Amino acid sequence: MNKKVLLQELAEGLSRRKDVTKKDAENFIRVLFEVIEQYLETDKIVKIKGFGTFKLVSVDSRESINVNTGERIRIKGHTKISFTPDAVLRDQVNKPFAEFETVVLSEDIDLKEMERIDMDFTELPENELEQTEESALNTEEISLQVTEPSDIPVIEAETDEGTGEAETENMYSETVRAGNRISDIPVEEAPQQTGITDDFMTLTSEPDDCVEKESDTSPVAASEENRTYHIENQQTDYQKIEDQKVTDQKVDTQHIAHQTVENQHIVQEHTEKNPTKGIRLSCAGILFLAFMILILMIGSYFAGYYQLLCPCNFDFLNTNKEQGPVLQPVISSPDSVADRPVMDKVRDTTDADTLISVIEQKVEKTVKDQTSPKDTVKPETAVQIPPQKVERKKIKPVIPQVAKGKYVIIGTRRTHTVKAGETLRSIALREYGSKGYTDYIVIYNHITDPNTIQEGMVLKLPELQTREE
Amino acid sequence: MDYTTKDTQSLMAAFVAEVTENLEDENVLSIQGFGTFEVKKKLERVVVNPTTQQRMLVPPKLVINFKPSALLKEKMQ
Repeated sequence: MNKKVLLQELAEGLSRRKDVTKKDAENFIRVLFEVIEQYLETDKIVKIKGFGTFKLVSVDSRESINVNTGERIRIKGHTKISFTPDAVLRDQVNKPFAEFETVVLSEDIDLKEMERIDMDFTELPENELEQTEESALNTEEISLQVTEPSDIPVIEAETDEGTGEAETENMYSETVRAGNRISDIPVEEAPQQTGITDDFMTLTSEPDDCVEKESDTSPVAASEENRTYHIENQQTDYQKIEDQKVTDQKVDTQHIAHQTVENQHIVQEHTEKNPTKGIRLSCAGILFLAFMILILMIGSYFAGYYQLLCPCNFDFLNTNKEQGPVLQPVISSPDSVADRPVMDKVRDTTDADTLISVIEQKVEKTVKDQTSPKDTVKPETAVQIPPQKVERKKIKPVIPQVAKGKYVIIGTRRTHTVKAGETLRSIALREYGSKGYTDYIVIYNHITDPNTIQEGMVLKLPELQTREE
Repeated sequence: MDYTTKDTQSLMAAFVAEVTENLEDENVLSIQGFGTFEVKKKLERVVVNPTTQQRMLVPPKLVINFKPSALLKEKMQ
């Protein structure tokens, strides 16, 4: 093993084989190689049956780089000597790997990943796809074996470099499925490759580790079919498999193969569990998000009607030119749509007294509505109520305000008579310093059409105070 | 030493057998002035058939490697 054998030793061995002296053997070998040399030089090719072929290959000169200096170098044309061993010799030397055949890979499987998986089951593979594909192959192989009644475990070295996978139909008798890619898997290889596991086992120590590690875990093989990984399924399958295992004759090989299958399935289980969990979470999240959006939409829909619902700003929706800017009455009493004509009346008249009378009417109406169902035993109190209410309301006359305006109109600053060529905006500019104050003038004077004002019109310029809120 | 063709042939066979045996044991055979015969392990690899684009797995193998000595190379120039 890795011993450097010299000519003498070769000669010794030769003399042992043939009835020749060691010296003669030595001589023979020496001469032999001299002859090879000679004829190689002249004929450029020397073929020895059972040994191999020596060839001279001429190589043209080429440009290259000096590895040390990095400078360009020209490699001269020269002649190479090549040796190609004979088939017999080649096979003899390759005896340990004799049973191997180059096989077709149906999917992309990372070999390193496979080795890693066999060694450590708790590790998750980086590429889930690889594992799913690998297990998909497994399932198809399984379906193939279902019909065969034999107990011989089928070892498939295709997808697994390190360890052979063995499946027995007993395990998967429940799961009969037509595989899509059966054609890819050569079933004929099965008997040939039974020897592989032995060789493989010796070369790699993986299966032993596998067996020890995975003795506790239950096989997930059958449940893999539906890929939902319900725990109940796993356990029931395990029970069945356990029963069948006992009856099997070749327990050892099965067990080992079992483990390797488990390994891969469990790994796949890990990979699959997480995605399903993740999927469930994302579904819930999406639903929740959709629900929230819906609520927001409904909320925003009703937001516009907030003004309507609120008694105060009923004019918000009714943007009519005639009405002008929004009125904001100071009265806190409940206002309804029916009272609108009343408010129009208020708008038309600026007199405080008329305002009060209107309020009186309103109050009476509401009071009447309230007191009518009551007993007539208390007429006095009923009569008394209106005057009290009126007294309370007497305090504040209604001053029209600009809705959401920065300022509050607290009274009249002065009066102004409109001259020719003046506009409300120009007046506002002159009075308050900005045309933005036009609205206050319009609203305070109850101007219906701010675009048409008459010359000689008397306007009350309002006194403004910053609204404090 | 004169050998008949028959003898030479049998000797050759014996020689080849001897060499094979040594190579099987993964020994390095060194012939002075000629070269060395060595057994090397090739790892398995994935190859792609360019026409069919099919991926194949070439299994690992042991191959014989011949390294000519400088003397021989010089002679062949």
